[in-house]
Amino acid sequence: MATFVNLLIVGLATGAIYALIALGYTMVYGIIELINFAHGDIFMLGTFVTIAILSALGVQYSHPPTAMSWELVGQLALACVGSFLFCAILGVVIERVAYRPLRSAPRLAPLISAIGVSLVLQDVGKLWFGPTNVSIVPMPIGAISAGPINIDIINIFVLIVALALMAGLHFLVNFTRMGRAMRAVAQDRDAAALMGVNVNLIIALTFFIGAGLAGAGGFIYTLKFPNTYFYLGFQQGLIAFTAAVLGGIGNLAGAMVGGLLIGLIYSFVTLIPNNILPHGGNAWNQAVIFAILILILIFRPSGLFGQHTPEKV
Amino acid sequence: MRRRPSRIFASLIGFSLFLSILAACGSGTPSTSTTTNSGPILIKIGTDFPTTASDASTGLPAQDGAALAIKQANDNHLVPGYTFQLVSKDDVGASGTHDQTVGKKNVTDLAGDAQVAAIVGPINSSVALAEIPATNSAPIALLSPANTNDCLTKNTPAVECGGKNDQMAALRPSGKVTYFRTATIDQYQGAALATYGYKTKGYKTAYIIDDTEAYGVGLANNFGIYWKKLGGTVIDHVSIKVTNSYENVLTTIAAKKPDVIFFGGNDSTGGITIRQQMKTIAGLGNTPFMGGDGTKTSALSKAIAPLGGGSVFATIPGIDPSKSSAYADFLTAYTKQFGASAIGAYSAGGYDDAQIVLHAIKTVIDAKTATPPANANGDATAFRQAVINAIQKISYTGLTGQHSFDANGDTSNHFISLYTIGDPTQGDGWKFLDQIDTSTLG
Repeated sequence: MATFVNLLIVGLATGAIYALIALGYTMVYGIIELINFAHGDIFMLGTFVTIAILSALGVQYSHPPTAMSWELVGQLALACVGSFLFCAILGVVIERVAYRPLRSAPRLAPLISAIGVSLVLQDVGKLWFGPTNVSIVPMPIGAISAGPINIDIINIFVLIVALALMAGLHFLVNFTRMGRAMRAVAQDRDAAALMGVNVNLIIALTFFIGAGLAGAGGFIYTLKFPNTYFYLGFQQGLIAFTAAVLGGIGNLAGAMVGGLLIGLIYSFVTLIPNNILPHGGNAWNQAVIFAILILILIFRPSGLFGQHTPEKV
Repeated sequence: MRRRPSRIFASLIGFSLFLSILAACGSGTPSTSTTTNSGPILIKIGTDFPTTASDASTGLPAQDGAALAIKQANDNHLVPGYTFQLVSKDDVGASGTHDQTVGKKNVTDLAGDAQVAAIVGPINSSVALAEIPATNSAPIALLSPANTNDCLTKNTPAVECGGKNDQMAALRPSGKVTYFRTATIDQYQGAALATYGYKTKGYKTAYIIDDTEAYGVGLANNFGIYWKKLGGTVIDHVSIKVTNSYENVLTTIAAKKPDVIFFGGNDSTGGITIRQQMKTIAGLGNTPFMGGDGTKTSALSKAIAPLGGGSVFATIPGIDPSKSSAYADFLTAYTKQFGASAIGAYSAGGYDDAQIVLHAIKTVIDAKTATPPANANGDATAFRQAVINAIQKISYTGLTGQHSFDANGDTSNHFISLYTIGDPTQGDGWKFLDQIDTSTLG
């Protein structure tokens, strides 16, 4: 039972990070029907930017902080904002350079352009932090213990921050003028332009927010995980993309639920013992997740939430 | 009359082919005349190690060691009339770690150059599985300072080889031994780690994780077998392909409270991440962590030392190089060439293996058994086979102990050295604890 509760928390916190990345995929798909393969790599750069900012502020791996202080909270807040802004601006630049010139080209062209951008970003990461694993400064945040149940406060924090960001996004898209413009562009770009919506600006804003969330995801990742490297974006991006498809690509609520669901599956597969699946359930977690993806694509191609909400962003 | 474009195209190709044949004939004549010129004859020694990305801390020091041996051989005119040249290859693939396909292509390329007399490498047993058949059918000698998986050289119980215990036909298509290694095999490495953990440290229950690769699975199984033989309990054994988080599996392990967590694998395939995350999981913060030579790297010690927590133990399959009288000279020369921080677990191994190849070549040339081809297109078969025969018969004492090779190509040296994390600013950050002669174990 205790293990179950512990795994539940781990799964939700991991899933929250997947959900933040998945939102970026789904926003971009919703508005210009492009699978932005570079999105995972923007997230990877977000983890690097966070490490760089913290390191510049004096928070270094060789001397990890031993106690929480207001100074440290300030440094973390600065790193979070820095990572969000860096990635958001990067997202807008990528859209301007690599996707906008191809907006009226056949579908395949921007897709290949996206893969190219992904490779460029990986190499930028490699050039910046080298090809090896980069250790992340561990934060001195404790755990709440209640008998055999141990809950890492980091996990609760990650969950709260991620849910707050998602709620903010939901509000922005559904209850603001800008959100209405985004939904209008997603539905019919030409009609929206005729109604006076600045389509280029709205698409750039979508990339700003989507990539910014990946940057914030990168920051949250560094709170929770012990290391990062230049290839991280590919691995995490693929899983987050699966989450987006699972929830129904183009659907915001779907991406959130899909991310959390995949986090939970990842976590609970571990409980399957050796005698049912050889080598233990954890060895099979990717197989289980992609098997679910295949089943979803066969029986419900539009994803879990694909049909309920026709509105796309 | 208008000719069909395809016919013009065909004639163009035909003409250019004719020209290139002429060019090839023309260039062939002078090259034979250059061989009659006196001057040192070039002999190349290939290396294949993972020298970039996540594996750089393991592979690059080995390549540096081999480079130093070759430089010294040239400086000292080891074989008068011949100069040696290192041809180094990197087997890291797109994912940032060692890659079988890349390794196989590397050794195939090296074997295609007639001037390459032998190859030193690789680090990883999984890569060796792909390279051994390619080098065996060439044939060209392949000599590894680091491969420890039992199944590479002889038929072993299926449990170690993922159910395939009869791989020799596939690994040795020619039927002859062309692959040698100076690393003591995992059978002994696993036994030494189990003995140290159970007898010296007094741990009774172990939880085993492996990284699903040939080396990791074999080492983990060997450890488990010997651990149980000593009377210890294996709580469970799970296989996990490298990932960025082991939090879920560590959470379930924490509930079972093992005395020690054993990891079969490399620093880059989970070693660093598992030990880092153990620190954040309630109940595992002070649990000891054990691994084989794949985890005894500077990358791991530098990542773990600032964190503190439970003890970390790792091994080197051989004698600790610092026990050798020649080591001080080696370290001075190595530091001068590559810098103090460039030393790694396999610097001495790479050096010794290159020395073995150099001495085998010297034996062949001194005894006039065969002569090396004069250029890259010559016939290397006889010379390479003579080098293989010389390695098989060699008796060499180097930094990693005394090596001769048995009928399978395995070293006669069965020492295993044990280490724990020490001062991360000193060398590779590991502190020597003990050495075990595993031929004395039951």
